[in-house]
Amino acid sequence: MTLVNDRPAEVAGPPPGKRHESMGQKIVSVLTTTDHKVIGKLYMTTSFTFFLIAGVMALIIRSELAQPGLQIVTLEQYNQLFTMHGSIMLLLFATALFVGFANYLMPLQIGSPDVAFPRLNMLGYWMYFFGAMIVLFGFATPGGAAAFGWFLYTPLSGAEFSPNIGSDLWILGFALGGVGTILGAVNFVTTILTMRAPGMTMFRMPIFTWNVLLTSVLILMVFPVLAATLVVLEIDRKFGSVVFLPENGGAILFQHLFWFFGHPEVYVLALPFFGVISEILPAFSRKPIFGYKGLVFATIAIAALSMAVWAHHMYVTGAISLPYFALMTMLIAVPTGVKFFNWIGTMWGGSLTFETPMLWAIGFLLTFLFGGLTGIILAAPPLDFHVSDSYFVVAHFHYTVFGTVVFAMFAGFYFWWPKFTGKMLNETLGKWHFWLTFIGFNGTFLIQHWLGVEGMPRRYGDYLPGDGFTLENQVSSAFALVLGISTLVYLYNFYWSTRYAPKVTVDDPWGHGGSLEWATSCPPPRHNFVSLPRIRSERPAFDLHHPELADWDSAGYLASLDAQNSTKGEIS
Amino acid sequence: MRRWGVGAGALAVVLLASGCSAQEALSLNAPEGATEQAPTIESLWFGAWVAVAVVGLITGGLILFAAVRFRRREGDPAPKQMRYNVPLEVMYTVIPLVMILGMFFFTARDQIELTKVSDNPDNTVGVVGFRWSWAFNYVEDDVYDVGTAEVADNPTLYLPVDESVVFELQSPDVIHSFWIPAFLMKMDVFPDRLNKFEVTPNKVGTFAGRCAELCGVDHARMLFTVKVVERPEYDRHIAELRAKGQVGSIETDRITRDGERYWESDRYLEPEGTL
Amino acid sequence: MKLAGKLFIGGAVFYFLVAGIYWIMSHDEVGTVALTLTGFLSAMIGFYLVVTANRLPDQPEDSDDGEIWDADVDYGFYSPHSWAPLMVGTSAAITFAGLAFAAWIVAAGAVLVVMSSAYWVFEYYTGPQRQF
Repeated sequence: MTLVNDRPAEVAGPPPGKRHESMGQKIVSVLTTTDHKVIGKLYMTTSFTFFLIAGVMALIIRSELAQPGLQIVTLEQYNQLFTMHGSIMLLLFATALFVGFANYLMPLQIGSPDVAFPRLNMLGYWMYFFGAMIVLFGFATPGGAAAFGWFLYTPLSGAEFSPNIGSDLWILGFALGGVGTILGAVNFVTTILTMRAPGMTMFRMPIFTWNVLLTSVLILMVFPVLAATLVVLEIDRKFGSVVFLPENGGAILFQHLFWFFGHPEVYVLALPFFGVISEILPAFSRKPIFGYKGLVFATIAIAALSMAVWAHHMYVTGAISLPYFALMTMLIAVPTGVKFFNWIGTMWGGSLTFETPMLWAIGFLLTFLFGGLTGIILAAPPLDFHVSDSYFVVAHFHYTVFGTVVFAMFAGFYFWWPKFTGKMLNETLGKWHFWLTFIGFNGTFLIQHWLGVEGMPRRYGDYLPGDGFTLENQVSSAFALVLGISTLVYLYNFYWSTRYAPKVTVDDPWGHGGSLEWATSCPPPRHNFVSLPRIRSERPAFDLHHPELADWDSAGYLASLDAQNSTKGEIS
Repeated sequence: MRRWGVGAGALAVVLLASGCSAQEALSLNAPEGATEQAPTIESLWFGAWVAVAVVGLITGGLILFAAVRFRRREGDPAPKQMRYNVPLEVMYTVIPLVMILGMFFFTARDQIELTKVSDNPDNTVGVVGFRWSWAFNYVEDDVYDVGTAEVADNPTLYLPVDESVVFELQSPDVIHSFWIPAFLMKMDVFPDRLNKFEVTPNKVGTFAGRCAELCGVDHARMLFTVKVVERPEYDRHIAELRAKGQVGSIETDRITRDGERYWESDRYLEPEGTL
Repeated sequence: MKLAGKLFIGGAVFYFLVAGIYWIMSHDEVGTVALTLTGFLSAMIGFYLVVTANRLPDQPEDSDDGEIWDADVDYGFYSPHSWAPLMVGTSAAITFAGLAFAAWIVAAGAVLVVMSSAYWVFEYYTGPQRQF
């Protein structure tokens, strides 16, 4: 490990004279990889593929709903479509995408050469991938895929009312995937607690890494509940146990168990992507993240409180304590608001430029703001009695989840593409991609708030011409097409970047990245760093590249290194 | 920059000048409430949306303002590297906390009122939600009505206007949800507990009713109609049902034990949910 | 590590507190048990971390003045490539999916899991006397 911060040129490219790998060797290399960067890219690619698959399902759903009457699918197929759309998006896309981003970036951000358990890392990927295959295999069975909604309430999901094997495959596939996610979380927590570089104290870790830590803690607490619930349900279905039978209070029991997992799950989805935004805003505002400690404490509060609010999904069951859950749910708005103001504070007084990642970050801010506010409405039981299980809720969760996961995903892709691949994505295509997505998304989902309040329930495959829902559904479906097209722009950008983009030769093409991944090459070498800069703040790479703006004497330190090297030669 | 200011000002004038249409806009096209309980919900709805809109406009405004005002211009120096401001952070923690506690107070007060069920309502209707339609047991008159999922055969629930009615909800199979959008109220229908809620319809009319919890393939066809009518017409309808021979009640044999109504047995669970 | 341990213990205190409030306000067994067990999980992790941190010397990553050369020179062994994850993953998939089809598939899958896990554990084992 050298102390010098510039690298000898020959490390940048592959060693000369290396044999060209055949396709078979490349495939084996990926199948047997233990490199967190390759595993991260596997997760990101696989999860994005599931995003596309579930997105096509959404387009079929929207096409069916554009007119009253059934034109494209039967009601049974429709139920399978939204069940699979929801479960794939939440568990096979968004959760896996978090694991992908965390896998690639977190070890780099803490200055470690890999994760604590590299083989366990890959095992987690296989459990995710095979779990997904098992779930999707339901479509190939005669009884069709699961059709009981992504929260699979009993008795509907029991053996009597969902006897098809596709339902069993759904339950078992997600149980397997859930175990894989738990293993990933174990890995992340261990890595963050034990493999940080010297000087990288807990309160100097990037916000993204903090959020990975807290998300992993949430996963450790709630995914076992999901796995246990699913296994017990499967035993009920296959071996006739009576845990979830109505005679034994099983219907309410299931809802409590599911939502005890299900609510923290949406924070598992949100927190890492809040972390992505917290990395991007400072880089394009050219100043540090505002209120670092406040952000950390707010995220801890959100994670802790999220475990205590699950039954706000159960207000209309008549079986829960309304005042307790209403209060706790409303309380979560407070730390979320703190985060918002910290993000605004990061932009405030900064020097902003609007490259594509920044556009996506601002799009996230506006979209999630709206979704969070409709959440306040839903938090109040007297208001939720009317709009629960209606399109108002569908609109709310798409604003929050799509707004967070998808907007921040694209922000992260455009920001870290040079780090992942050594090339940039095209800026012009990126801007088209952003605006088409922003317009398509808002056009599709804004009007659904009205639909829900007017009385259209969710999970309806059809409605009557006299219901008065037709025009709003048509508007929603038309914009859904725009949303679909926006993704095609991204796919072309992906192709353009692979084929035409020049190679990036610097560590940080954006110029003001703060965390350690921007202090190594694009892409990084096998074990991440040839040399590490001194870590004295929450943005060591920024201090390295802009020593005049550091809040410690970075310039003096770098000068002393140069002085040492000019008199003594390299120290290793 | 000035263009933005003029535009924002014009928007504000338009919004303020159209006070009543702001109410309509904020109501998001909610059906006009047809019960005595509806005004409570409607005023909480309106108040909540005003609060939410104010917070949204301020926050969204700050975001957009920052994006415009702090745009980098050619040759700009590095900005001040501000990391924290404790009084500001404390302020924007405490103020939302106070707002939330205020909102909770109104919410809790209204929720207690809306979930009250009196011991002696004017009418009691036993609602059975089953795959995939509804049965209505008019308990005092000892007649029932039942429908199917065919649109022409969807059941119609008759209710006398200005009389309180308690709905007792149960299911023989899976979870459904009994939603009458015009009443701004729904409650889930369970196979393992009896749910109850009470309203007093105060508007004569015909209203849509829907199932609002996924219950299987015909979930979208599990529709019903609610007719709130004057007392004489209600009595006439009851007599019609009696003449058709629909005397007695539809029972859910899944949870009735030994011919006994489930909610009269000692396995009956009191609906909870209020402190 | 000690800070993280204290965070977990703080979390445990929070969950026990919330479990108590929840029981008083709802008398619901399911949520109370879930919250209490979450508290125990958090406490267990927290105590383990605190105990481990006390046992270890001060770590350079927890020091505000940590220098890169303070880190342990030997980073440990990183498996360069391995078939073990794919093998265990496939065995686990067979076991889980088998539950939907037939019991003997589950049994076969379980055997495969044990075998592939044994391969995993001993993949880099070179004998009892050696140390890398």
